[in-house]
Amino acid sequence: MADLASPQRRSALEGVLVPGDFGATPFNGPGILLSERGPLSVVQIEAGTEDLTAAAGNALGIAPSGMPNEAAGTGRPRILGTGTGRWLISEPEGRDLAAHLRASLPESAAVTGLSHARVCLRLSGRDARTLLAKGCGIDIHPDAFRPDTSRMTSLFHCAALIDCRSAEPVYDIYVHRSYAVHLFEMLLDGALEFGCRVA
Amino acid sequence: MLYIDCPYCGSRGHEEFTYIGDATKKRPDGAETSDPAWFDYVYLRDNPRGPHLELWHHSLGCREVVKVLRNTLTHEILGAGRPGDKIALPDAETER
Repeated sequence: MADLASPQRRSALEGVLVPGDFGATPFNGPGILLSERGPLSVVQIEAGTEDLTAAAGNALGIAPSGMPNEAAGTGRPRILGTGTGRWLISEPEGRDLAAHLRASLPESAAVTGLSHARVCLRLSGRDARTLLAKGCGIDIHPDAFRPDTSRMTSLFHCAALIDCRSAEPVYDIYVHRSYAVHLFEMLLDGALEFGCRVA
Repeated sequence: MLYIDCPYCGSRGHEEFTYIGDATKKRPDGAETSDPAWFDYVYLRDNPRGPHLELWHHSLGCREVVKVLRNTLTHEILGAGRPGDKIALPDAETER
């Protein structure tokens, strides 16, 4: 019998994300690479009355950036600014990140576990910027949307957090779980003209 | 498109925002019992032709409330800041 106490993670894109090559077949390979990252531990922390930067820095080993839209860390964990005094922390699942933060941050801080509430899509490839431009209004020129910065914006009409991991470009897109299918289908549809490899 | 300078996110298109309303109305003190004060707060709004202080919610961005000075005639965004910030109205317009 299945262990009811620790349910298996089930991807929100199960049956929708089908690995393979879709759309055009350019001579130099698919222009878009699309995959789902996970499982991830995703936790939001929000400062109450006290500044969280130092305490979070001690708990995580990397201090969150006080600058708007600036990311910290290389992925274990990755800390993204999502508002004044609010950060989203994500790392590959391994420990109980929410409990760890709750224990190490001051009482006034709000710690919210979002691991099961967010889906993280990884978008890369030479046409990734053009694809993003189809669905959002922010400036995605490499000089404007630089690596290690993130943007909270609307992507194909749903709220998304776009994290620019590198200038190649590689983007991590965090989206609410219930919008994941919509966003994935829109991204895949938009990517067909460039050729899309789903992994 | 209108570009609103969100204090956190920077310049963003207005379709990321949701309009809340007039930013000049102050909520009466909770102990206030006079009907006219509450009637004024809930229902009465000026409809100026020109600069207007208003609140917008950056609902698809940082989810913060932004105070915006917008010209209702030309749709020009004259300033933006946090709700507590003072945004000065242009002189020529305040004399009207």
